[in-house]
Amino acid sequence: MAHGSHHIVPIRTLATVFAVLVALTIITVITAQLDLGPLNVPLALAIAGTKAVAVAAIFMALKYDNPVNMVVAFLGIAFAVVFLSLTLSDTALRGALGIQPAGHIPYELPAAVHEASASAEEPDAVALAEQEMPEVQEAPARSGEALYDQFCKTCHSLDGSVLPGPTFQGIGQSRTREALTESILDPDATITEGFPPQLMLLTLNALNFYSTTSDAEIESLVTFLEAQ
Amino acid sequence: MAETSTTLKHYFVSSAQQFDAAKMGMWLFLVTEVLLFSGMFVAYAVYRVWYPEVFELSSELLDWRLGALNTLVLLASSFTVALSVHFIQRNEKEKVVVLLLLTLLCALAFMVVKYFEYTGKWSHGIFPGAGFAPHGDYAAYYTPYAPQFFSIYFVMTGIHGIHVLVGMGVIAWIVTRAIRGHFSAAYYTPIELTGLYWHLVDIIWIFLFPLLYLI
Repeated sequence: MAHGSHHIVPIRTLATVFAVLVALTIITVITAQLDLGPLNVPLALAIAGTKAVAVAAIFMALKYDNPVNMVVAFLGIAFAVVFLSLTLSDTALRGALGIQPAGHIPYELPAAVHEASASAEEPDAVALAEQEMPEVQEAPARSGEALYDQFCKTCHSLDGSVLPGPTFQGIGQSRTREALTESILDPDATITEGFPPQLMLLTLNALNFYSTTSDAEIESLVTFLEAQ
Repeated sequence: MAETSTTLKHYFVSSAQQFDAAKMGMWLFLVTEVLLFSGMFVAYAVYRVWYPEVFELSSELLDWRLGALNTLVLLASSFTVALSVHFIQRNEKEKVVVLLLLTLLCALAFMVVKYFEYTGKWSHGIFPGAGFAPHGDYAAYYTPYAPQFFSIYFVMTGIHGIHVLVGMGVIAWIVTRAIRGHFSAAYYTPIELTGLYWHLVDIIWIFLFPLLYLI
């Protein structure tokens, strides 16, 4: 009788696995309340992985099953791992390309081309370089208003209306130039009452504000704010 | 043997071969399910690597107690499904019906919790996509890329929720067949395959819970 040969997983085993799964759920909730720094994510994933293996091995009976089903399951997981790792190897290492202002692509000529054009001994190479490579340009400085539109507008209104951050209406009268500069460079130095700390720094970092904005641009932003 | 001969297709040598073929087919289907969800897990991973602070801040808005409750509910339903396979293998048909009904109840509880979570978010203006406009206490959480976190949250839990609903439909169907006495120790392929599907839905949630609610 064919079905008689199927392994029947004992109730005791199933109950043990269920108890372990509940215990691991409690453990992952508790460890998530502690701050383990860089270990937070790997630990939570390790616990989730252990739970998944327990479900697959015992509840789904892969442990007792025809090995071909294990092969199929492993193939599926292997493809998912390839998908995840190749994608992350691109996105995690490509740098912050997405936030460059429109029209400007930073591009460095290879050192060899610089040398060639300096010595001018190989005119062909220079001609080729001029033909194929875009000219290196400094990013045009953005106006204070453009910076406001790009980085500030979502949270700070100019007309007094309430957004996640305080309005800029009249800010030129109530703040000195130095105070405005400090509030941009170190948002948590002074916090307007009723507004959350850290939010602005977090936001500007996520937008790569500090790494893409020159001192001169911040000056023009301060000038723009002074006029409000 | 009479029962077996009514379910054995002529192109299989034996009911054992038929059962193994059906089960392997189910595993192949589960692989496509893993790959379906892997796309969303990759989207989550990419955005989390880019904006870890935003993900940590935004996940504070998800209630880990409700997430943990739903995890326990789904684990319990996986346990009852595994038990139902155990009892049909031992030909104890009445217990199978009770266990499958318990599974259905757990699935319903999961969806009820999910309903309260979703409506709670909507009432604070947290919608997927362009409608994202948190207000009131939630306004401080409107950081850049917070919309991406919540779009990923709604799409992942939404597609998972659809899988729970489909599972409920399938379980309801095999409950009616179990009541009509279609299954026995000699033939229980639909229960086995439904169980495999249900465990996979559980495994997906096992990963969604810590990724979205805890870390």
